[in-house]
Amino acid sequence: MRGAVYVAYGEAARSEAVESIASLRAHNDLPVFCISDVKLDIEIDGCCIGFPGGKGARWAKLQAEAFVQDWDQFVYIDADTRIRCDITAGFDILDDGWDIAMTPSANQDDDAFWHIGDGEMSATLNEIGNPYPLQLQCGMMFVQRNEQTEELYARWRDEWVKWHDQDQAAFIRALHQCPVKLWLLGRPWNGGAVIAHRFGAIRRRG
Amino acid sequence: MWIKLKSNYKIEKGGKMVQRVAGDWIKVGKQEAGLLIAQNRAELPGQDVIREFAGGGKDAGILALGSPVAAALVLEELKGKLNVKYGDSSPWLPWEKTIIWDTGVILRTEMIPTGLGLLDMWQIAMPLWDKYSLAIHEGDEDDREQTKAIVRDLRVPLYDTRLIYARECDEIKQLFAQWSTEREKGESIRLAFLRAFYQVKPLMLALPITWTGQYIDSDR
Repeated sequence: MRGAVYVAYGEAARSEAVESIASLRAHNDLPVFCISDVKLDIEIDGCCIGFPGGKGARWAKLQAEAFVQDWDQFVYIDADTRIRCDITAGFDILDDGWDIAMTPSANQDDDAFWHIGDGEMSATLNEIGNPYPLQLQCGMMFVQRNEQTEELYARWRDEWVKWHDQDQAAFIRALHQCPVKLWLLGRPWNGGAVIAHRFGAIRRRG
Repeated sequence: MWIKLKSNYKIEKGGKMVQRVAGDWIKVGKQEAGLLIAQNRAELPGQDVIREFAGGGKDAGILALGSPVAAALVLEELKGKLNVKYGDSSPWLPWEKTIIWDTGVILRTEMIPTGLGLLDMWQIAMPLWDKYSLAIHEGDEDDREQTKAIVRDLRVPLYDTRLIYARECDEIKQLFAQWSTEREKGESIRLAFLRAFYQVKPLMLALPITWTGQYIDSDR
């Protein structure tokens, strides 16, 4: 079974999620699960309201795989997106044996990890031993449920709680501890013709 | 660029001077980075290739494809410290960890220890071809069609097949064999690699184009 997972904390994020889910449904027949602080103004297939822990939207995002255990595959989609077409190919790629399909960030080289604090970035580069990692965009990810991705998510949570900030550096650290079969999609899939992304529209810390 | 401090250093942060200590990574401009490295107050880990390879390079080496003369010039600093072999256009794995380098692309020798270190966790590591090109922009129609039939969607990045860090293992041997087969089906070496990679699925760490020096001389 396949489905889509959203996280929406705060009025702006909930409003964006409603728009994104509507756009998803215009082109795809997928169940939707949303973790949010307040119920969305749209009917969806499953939700968790007020996820405990007090760590906010990013902590909720890192629990996504735990909430949809009966789905073999899911796509996590940031709320500030608009789905422009059928995204079945992303799931089919997982069918072919890939663990995760996602896109690189548009920010690389000197712009990479611009939003990560100096302390966390210093620790990350020390840990992975690579001054030039590819920054991955974690705002849209197709995920195959299996032992490898469950382990990766567990590591991702472990790494995120060390700094309680953004999630991308934590993802890179987790990935270096727990490599998975990762298929890279291009920009159209996260910030283009397939999935448009209003980057920063609802950015919040924590 | 990011560099690692070898001694304490103060940087400006939000209009204030903030102390950073040895071991911290700091992001500074290229000129300041160069100055700190020259003063031995900071390092880009791996820059001292000779030191890092002393005693550690026996099972690693560079398979240089292309011009042996160009390769010899670049690899002069590694002479006697790292194995080097020359070949035609076919990749193979002479060592436990092999850098397959086409002399048509910049080899950042200071990144060699880092790249080989990545192979402790990953079976292969390769930079992307460039920042914007996708498979949909590559090759002729027939080549793209057969690629799409395998990878399902051509809106995906390409890998730079001119620089490959590869570990000797069954998956990579299979990848290279499949790549050879795919190369007979079309003109584009990068689409052929993409088809082979998709079918074999080794543990690949994609790297940014920084690894082939594509941004090094820019002012970004």
